[in-house]
Amino acid sequence: MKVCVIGNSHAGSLLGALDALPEDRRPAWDFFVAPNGFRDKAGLKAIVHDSVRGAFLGFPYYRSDKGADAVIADYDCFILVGAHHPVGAIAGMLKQEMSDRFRAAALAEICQTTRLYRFAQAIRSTSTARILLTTRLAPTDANRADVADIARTAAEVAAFWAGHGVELIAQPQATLTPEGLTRMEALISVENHHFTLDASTLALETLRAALAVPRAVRSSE
Amino acid sequence: MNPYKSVPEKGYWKQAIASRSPFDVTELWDPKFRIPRRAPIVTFGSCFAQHFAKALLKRDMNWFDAEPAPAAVSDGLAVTFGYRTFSARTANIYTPSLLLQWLRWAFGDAEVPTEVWQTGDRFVDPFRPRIEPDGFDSPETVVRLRNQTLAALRDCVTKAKVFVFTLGLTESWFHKDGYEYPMCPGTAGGSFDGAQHVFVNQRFTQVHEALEQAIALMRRHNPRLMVLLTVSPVPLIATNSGEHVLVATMQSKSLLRSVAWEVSASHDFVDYFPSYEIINAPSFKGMFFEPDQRSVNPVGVDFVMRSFFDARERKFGADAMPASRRAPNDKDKAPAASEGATRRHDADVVCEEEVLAAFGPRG
Repeated sequence: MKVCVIGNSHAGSLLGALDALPEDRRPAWDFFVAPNGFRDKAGLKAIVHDSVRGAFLGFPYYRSDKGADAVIADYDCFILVGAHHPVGAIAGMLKQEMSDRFRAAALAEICQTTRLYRFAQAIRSTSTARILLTTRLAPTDANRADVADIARTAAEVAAFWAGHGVELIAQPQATLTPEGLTRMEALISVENHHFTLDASTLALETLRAALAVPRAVRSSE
Repeated sequence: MNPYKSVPEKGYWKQAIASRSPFDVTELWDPKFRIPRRAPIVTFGSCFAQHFAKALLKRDMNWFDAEPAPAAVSDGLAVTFGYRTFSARTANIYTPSLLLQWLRWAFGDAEVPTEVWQTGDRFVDPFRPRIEPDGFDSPETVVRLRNQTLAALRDCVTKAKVFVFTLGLTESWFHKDGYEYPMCPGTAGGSFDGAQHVFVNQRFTQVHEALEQAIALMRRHNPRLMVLLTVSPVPLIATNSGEHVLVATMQSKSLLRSVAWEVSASHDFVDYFPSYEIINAPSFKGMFFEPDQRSVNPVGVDFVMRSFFDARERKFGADAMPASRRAPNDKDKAPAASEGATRRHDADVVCEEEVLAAFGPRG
């Protein structure tokens, strides 16, 4: 199975975890990373989807035999990695009382504003490849939404993505407190919400378990 | 010498109207009271009231949204579900008697009827039947979310400086037990029952008393509240009066206009802004209507609102500081426009009564 990881700086954390593994245990995944909101190195130009070529163009950081463009047809599976509108934030946005239909419509609209949704849509327009999505799920404290709201919102967000043929991969259990919040010690800093190497390794293992990928022996770089 | 010698130019048709381009007609309104830029203003009533909200936001004035949608939600979605439309999710309030009913419910002066309409497995609020496009999931949710709106309406009355109300219709539908529906049952939900549902084309006394009582109730809870009345210039989309719709429209609007004058002339805290006249006066040659000769076009809306703000500035001067640049601690003094509210500028106006057009003959 040919796997392509597309993401922002959080995908970079994942790549760091991958590189920390012994070489013979590294999955042979291609990586296309665009920090700064999926923009180029200067932060100016957004990653472009070329619908004619069926490719995402011009990633500033990549690990792939084929260069900086991710050609959709080359892959059997995509792992989309981001941090926009994590579940905890969505739970906070939708904390007020509202009808079921409005909540569903609002949640869908919020999810659809994420860059990852556009990546998923572009992939789905030309490919039946499996798409996994991982994003920070839980906040580090209960200020923005209570725990019940987070659990409920997580289920709703997963259902939204499932409706679009995307599997939302749960945050590793070991990075969560018993209340379902992200453990502070799993983060390098609260500001950027990047996982530590240990937590990133857990995230990587969670993804591998989801994919049930055989251990790879090859690195493309 | 006679009194007409001292009448200003605006008092003479030839000078004020006939010799001018319609767009140069000015001084149409002499505001009674100042509305400071940061004063919380709430808007309710017929669909034309929504233009006020939009114009206030565009001018960086403090339209108070007491029941805001989540800020992350688009205007299109919010408006579809009745948010960012009026200052609370009451939907259109076409008659003063309906306003009075909402206020009595909000302040506990009357019990809210238990009636809820069912359509399949969804439930409709008879008092705002199109507030949710697909209805609610249970009767309990209908009540719970209506209570939220009633709390927001209470906030509007007690926290606002100015309550803008646009009178829309005299034709109304009541349950035989005495409560009023915003729409005829069976048109936007529910089913019509001639034994239960009563058509009332309200007369001057009824409209006048309801408006006086509504204002008195609000002033009991906020003695400093100012009221700005307008009459919707939008003609009836359909009439149940038996009259021709044109005659019914003129009858209805004339009556509402008379009530608005009567009430504003009776109280120094009530003013009337002539949006109805600006759109409908023959001097404007119908240019402010869309081809359907009913919907007010953007030029008309803009002219109305420009007349409003120009009159305000002419009399009281322009406010020096836009609301968005005022000192942060000013937020403590008055409710501020929500983030969602400030994004609402270009959303369409919502008029539930337009559903009636679907019941007319084809062609």
